[in-house]
Amino acid sequence: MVDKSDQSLSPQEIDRLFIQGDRNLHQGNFTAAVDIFEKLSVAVISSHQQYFNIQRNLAKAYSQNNQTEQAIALCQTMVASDSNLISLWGTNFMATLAPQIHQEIIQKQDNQEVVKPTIKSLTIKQKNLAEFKQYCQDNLLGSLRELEKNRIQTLSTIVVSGIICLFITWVICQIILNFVKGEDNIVFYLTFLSLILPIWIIFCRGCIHVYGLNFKRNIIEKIVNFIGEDGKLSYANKLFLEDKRQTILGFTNSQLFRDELQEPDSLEQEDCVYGTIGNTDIFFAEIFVKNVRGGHLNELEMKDSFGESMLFHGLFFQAKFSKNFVSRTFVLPNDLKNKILLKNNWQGEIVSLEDPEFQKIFQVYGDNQIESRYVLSTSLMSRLVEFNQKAKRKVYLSFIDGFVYIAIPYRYRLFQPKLLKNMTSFAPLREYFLDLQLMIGIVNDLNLNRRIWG
Amino acid sequence: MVLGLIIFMLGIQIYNSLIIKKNQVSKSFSSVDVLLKKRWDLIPNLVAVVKNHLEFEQQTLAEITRLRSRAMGNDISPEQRLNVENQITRTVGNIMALIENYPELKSERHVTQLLESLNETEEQISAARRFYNSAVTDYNNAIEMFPSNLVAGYMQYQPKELFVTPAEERANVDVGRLLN
Repeated sequence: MVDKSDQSLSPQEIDRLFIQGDRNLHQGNFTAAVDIFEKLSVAVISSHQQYFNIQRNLAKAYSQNNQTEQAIALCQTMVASDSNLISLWGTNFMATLAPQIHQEIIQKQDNQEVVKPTIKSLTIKQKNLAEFKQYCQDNLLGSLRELEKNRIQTLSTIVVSGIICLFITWVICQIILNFVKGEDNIVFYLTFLSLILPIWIIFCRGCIHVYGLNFKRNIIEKIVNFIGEDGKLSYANKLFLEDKRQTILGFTNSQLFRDELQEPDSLEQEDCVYGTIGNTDIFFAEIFVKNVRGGHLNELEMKDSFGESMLFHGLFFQAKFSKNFVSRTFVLPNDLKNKILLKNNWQGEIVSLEDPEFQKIFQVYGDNQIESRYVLSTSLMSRLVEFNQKAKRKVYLSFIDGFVYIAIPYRYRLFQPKLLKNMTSFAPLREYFLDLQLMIGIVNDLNLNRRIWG
Repeated sequence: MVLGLIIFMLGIQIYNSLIIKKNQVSKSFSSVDVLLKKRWDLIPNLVAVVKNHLEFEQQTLAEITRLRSRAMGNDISPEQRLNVENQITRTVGNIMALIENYPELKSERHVTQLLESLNETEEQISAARRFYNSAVTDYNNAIEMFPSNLVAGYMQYQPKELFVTPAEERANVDVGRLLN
């Protein structure tokens, strides 16, 4: 059970315990997960960046471990939290634990909402590069120096291990050649090296992975916290199981790249950011969606040929849209590929809009001419033109079931540490900042916080 | 003979495309009409909800009720109807702006819901008008461009008017003036 005497944990220990607890939760060791998250929830204060994740996982662990009463009590505490994100999650999770209590909470919230003033449009102040530079100097410099040390260490490890591999190869080859009384032969050396090389590559990847984890925890997470106001955004390097399922459903529902009935064969996500901006819940992540071909067992119990092709790689964003609508509207780049692909499309008929600038950049398809225009108001069209100029990339949007989905393809992996670049220089940080700012800024850029009299 | 057949086929194609465009205009106009009628249904609720609070604005409320009855009347021409609907849009906008000055009204849930519906309907009307204008532009282009203008002339098709936002509707609502 919880050891109350050991309540002060170092940040490294908190992270280590969290990963351990998360693993236990996902492996079905719920009792162990409960113990760890109980310990963490005592040790971590509510302003800690992992606080929400710990509370959330503890509630899930209680629920899975049949400790329903504790789960309900924890959810009630979460519902009463000052943080919108924690409160919202607690309310939603309560629905699965105790529908009756959930109904009471909803009614209570509805009554409270009546006396709330009408929200017009919350504009969140966006951070600029000068502010970010100052933030880096004030808050990130220590971590960056530490990271730079790690980088050099990682590089040295890779180089030294490479030299050791070469040396071992040479020694073993010499021993074998002496034993069989053979002559020096370059092909022999290369053959032996090709056996050692994969081991070395796996080792290097491990080193880079560990360095990358440090980098993401120490840098990317802090940049997200800096851009997102008042810690209402959370960052996770990876999300698993039901959270990943949500992304798969979101991607499928967006119907941007495939028909609605087809879930992607494979979807992986990294660098997930979720939370609330103003009064809009958002989620975005770098996702890798692949089509898988073959790999099935035939009548001879043999697998047929297997192949993968990338359907989409880039940033995928989803948020609740401020208008109610029932039909689908797609805003796609106005390029030849889309024109050809959408000849037999599932995305409805062409909607010709009156903004010439917008029409130059985008091609709009939809099920209902009027509703597409209702969604794409004249101001949203000009905002999308500006957003496209800011993104400097192709932008795909769909408006379905009250949600807006945005996909921005990238050819390279985002938010990766650059092993050959000095981490104390501002240039790589600037790139990460701009990419994150672009996504988080969508709420402002598309005015998603707009309500009633916006 | 072949040339004659080609001209005949082309004529049929132009004829059909003109029919499609004319029907598209009718369809888009009826969409606007449906939404305008939806707004008529909301106006009595709006008046009922705010009449006790906006005591000093009885004239505005009486005006919108009068305009609604006029728009619903059978003896009104399409041009007059368009004019009256524009006046309703302006008056509804004014009432919504006035409500902003009554916090106790804004905090009432059914008022918020009603305003939400009205605002949504106004935006849908605006979208339907844009669709109508787009359909009319396609139609007008077709009946003025060669060679479809020849077929359109034979069919006695006339250019149609676009929905134009009146200047006073484009101007921002002056709440101060309304309150005086």
